[in-house]
Amino acid sequence: MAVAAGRASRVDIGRTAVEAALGTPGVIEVSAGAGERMHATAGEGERVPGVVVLAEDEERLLVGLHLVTSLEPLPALSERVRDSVLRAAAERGFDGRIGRIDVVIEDIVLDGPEAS
Amino acid sequence: MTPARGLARTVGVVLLAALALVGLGVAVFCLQDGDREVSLTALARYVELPALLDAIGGWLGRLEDSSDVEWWSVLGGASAILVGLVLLGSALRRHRQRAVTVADGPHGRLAVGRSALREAAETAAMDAGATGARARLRRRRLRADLLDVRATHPPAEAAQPTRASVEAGVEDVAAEVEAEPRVEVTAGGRGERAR
Repeated sequence: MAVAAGRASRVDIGRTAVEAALGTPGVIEVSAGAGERMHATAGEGERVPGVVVLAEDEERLLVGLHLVTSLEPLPALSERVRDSVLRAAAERGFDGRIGRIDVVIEDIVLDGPEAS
Repeated sequence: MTPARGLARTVGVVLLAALALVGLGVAVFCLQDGDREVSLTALARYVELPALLDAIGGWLGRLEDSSDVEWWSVLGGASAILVGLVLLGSALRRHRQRAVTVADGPHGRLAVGRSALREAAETAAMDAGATGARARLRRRRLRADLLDVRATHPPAEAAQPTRASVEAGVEDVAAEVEAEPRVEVTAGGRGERAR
């Protein structure tokens, strides 16, 4: 769903980040934490679990992704996740609004699908 | 959250609320002076401070005058100090972070949940033939973090094969967070078997 850059809400950005992260090899699912409520972005009657979007400064937003991944080098995986998120945001025209992207690995699945 | 920390938080909230109420009451009763209805003197009368002084005045006097030690008073005071220290320590102690920050740069932070890392290391050790495993990530200031795994091997078998396979499994997990693995393998209890 295309979103005008100036109108991208926190929920739009959170949803884009989660979709991009889930499309990254090595990421199995997102984790919303205890009660499925700890790590989520809500607004406009919608809730996106597994991501927290906060103001970083007056223009940009900090995106915090909470992920369950397979067993592999996590620094490289987090870089791939960041690249995917920025690419997806650029496609929707709001990459300029994204500042830092924090990646928090909440669980590691040993026999999960290998990254290709 | 530890019980002491939970107690410290609860006591903190209750004390703050009580302090705020007392402060509000005293402020209101400062509106008038002397012995009028809304004065501090009246407040003391309303909360029956004179009666309280009658009740404990003798005891306070004995504390002041007596050359003998009032051991119940000492015990009460020491207990109060101890409880205060525990609450203070619990409130001020740095909370152990739930996630370990592996990398932090201008583009963002990478953190791994302690429990996720611990479970991954323990599962890797068990998959490698250990009969039991306990893992712990130790933070180190100037060197790479240490992923410390203590595992047991089947008592009927030699330790070395289990050690080698556990080390290989734990190395993979440690590499994820660029930590240094350390594996200690001891004989498990009688009857223990690898899964």
